[in-house]
Amino acid sequence: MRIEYLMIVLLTIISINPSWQQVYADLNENGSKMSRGLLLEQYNGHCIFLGTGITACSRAEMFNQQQGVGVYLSKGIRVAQSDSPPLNNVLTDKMMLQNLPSVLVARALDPKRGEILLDMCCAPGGKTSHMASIVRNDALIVACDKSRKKVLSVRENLKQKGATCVIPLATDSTKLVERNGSTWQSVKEVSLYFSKLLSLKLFYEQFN
Amino acid sequence: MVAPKISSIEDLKVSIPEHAREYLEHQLRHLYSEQNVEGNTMLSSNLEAKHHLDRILKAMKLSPKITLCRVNLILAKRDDVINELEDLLQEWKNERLDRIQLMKSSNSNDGRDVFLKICPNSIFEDCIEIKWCCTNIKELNADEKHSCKIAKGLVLNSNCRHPPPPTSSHNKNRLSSMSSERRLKRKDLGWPDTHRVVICDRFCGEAVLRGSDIFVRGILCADSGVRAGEEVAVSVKDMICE
Repeated sequence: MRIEYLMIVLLTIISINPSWQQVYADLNENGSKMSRGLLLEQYNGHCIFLGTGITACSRAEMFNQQQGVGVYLSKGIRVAQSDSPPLNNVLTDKMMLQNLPSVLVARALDPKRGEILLDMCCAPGGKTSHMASIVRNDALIVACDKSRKKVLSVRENLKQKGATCVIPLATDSTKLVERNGSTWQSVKEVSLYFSKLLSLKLFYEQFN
Repeated sequence: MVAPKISSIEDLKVSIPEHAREYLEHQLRHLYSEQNVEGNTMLSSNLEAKHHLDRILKAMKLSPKITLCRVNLILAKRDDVINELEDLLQEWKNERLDRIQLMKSSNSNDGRDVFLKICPNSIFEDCIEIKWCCTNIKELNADEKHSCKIAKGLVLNSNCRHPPPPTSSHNKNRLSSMSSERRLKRKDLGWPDTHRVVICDRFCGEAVLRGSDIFVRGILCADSGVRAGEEVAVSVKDMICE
């Protein structure tokens, strides 16, 4: 059997992500780390109006409980471009919410049945499960992620979706492949190297 | 007592590091210089790229217009999932349509009808689109393609800083249980006098913008007297603004 390695390089996603986090990331710079459970009158920070919702529990329960829904936004009116349906925990084995850019990644890779695929950065497992879905479980997908905790949740996610063709591995994928006797230094280095071969078909031939 | 600052999503600005901005603008510049070779000066393609990136950053603040679901083909077929979603969303859809009808009768009726469409995506064979469409009643018999336009459904504009009047009379009774002194104090601080308020943290706020409900762990602050089943105004704690 011919072994073919394919890699997914999420270059665009890597470059977009920092900006999205920036929106929320720098917020504690003024040192206003707030504890939960304040009364409204005690709040004097800056906030943004998101819409209205229907409460699922009382104030006391909001701060006593460790899990569960506090406010149903789907029953109120939110500030949004479109009124999105409540799909949390709906048909989790048969479908998942996935935005168009993420759907495009596995489609661009175009995996075929019987191939061996390497996912170098798999958590939370959406694109990995998409590959398994495209080949109808008839392939070998090795899915790596550096974080052990994340890989455990990926494993659960894939199990629920019946994606038995995936082997999740808690490992740093930049250390999997040697180049001139040395390992790659970072995912960025790997993606920069392969972005020269951005056509995925060309990319694929490299490993034939 | 210091009053809080209450902003709208419109005021929110997605900020990215300067080098990231330069990199992205550079990529987009390619797009415009290739597209329009004749008579397009360097300056205008730079400007076009800047505007394009601004549009992208603006769009990132709000949830997408279309909800996309990808079907797991190992366990299900697309048509079956569409049918299941139709059933599961029936109750929610009807509740929304009732409210839209209510709001319409109070405003002027523009003769357009809104409906929820759950349909296959035309490009990806394993994807389902869920979107609100609007149709002109007069055109209902015409080709569906022409009558079907993307609508918003029941949403507020991004420049809203305060909730609209409560949708149930129940809420009015709830608020009147508050002492008039406290209501005045809240009003002076800038809080709405029609709804109790809940403030969530920024991660929760991000999820809300993507269509999520609020889980108790994300709630930072709540008005005293909040009970189950009450309509509340929801805000998210400080984000970077213009």
